[in-house]
Amino acid sequence: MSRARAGLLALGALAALLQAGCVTMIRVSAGNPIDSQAVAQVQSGTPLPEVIATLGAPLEVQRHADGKLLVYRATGRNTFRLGLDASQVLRFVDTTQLVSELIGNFRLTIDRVHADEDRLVILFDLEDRVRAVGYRGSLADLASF
Amino acid sequence: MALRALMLAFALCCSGCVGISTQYEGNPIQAEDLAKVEIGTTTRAEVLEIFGSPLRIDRADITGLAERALARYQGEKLSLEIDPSLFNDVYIYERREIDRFALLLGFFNYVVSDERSDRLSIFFDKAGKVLGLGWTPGTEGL
Repeated sequence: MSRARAGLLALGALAALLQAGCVTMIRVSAGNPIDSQAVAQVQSGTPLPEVIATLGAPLEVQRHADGKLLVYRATGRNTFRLGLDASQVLRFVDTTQLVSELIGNFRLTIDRVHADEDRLVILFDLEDRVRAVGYRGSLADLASF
Repeated sequence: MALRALMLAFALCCSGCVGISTQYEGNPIQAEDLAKVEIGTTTRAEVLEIFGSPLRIDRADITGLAERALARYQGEKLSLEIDPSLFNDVYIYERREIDRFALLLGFFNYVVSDERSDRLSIFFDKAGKVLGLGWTPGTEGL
């Protein structure tokens, strides 16, 4: 096989592969990050003004009969999608009808979605002092791309 | 000829587009105005003068409070005592920014969307004076 013919074949194979396959990567993040070091400064009994001065504005303020609840949240979602459509290869390959019908029906999609969030909930008593802190920081574990 | 056709097919495979967008929602919050607010002194009226109309005023929802108390109560009679501090207002100011980037090549697509917000929450006490101030300049991280 001549070098030109081999190059042509390689180019054809690459074009067929690019037509048949599709990779999609989507990264979505929403909400202001929560500073875990600042969270550590919030202790039971800390007054509300000090909490918001340290952590910033909460996303949500809930009021219960026994006190306020401040909610902070940041979310992240990564999607990786691989799609293969074998029928696209047939544009470049000369085959029998049976083979083209068999291959033409082959489609594969693989989705991998990883969604997580950093969540902080601070419960206050009626004197606006911290009663309890609930924190879960998971965004750091979210693979970045 | 065949080579040209293949080159054309290859070029078509590689063609695509890039999209970049930034979306803003809400009025900008001037960080230098934060220094004008004094905890325990500045009133609601002064806050409105400094920052203008808030995006939202968070107030106690008495129906919600009663419903939450009812949900936890088991018995025949329920008397509810609600502390007045739960009715203190919270003024919320927010400027949201969403940055998006998309690379669409057909065989490879990459999309990124990041949403952050500059957010200011001002808590008032029973006397209508500023109790505390929470400021998050979230868009700085974009």
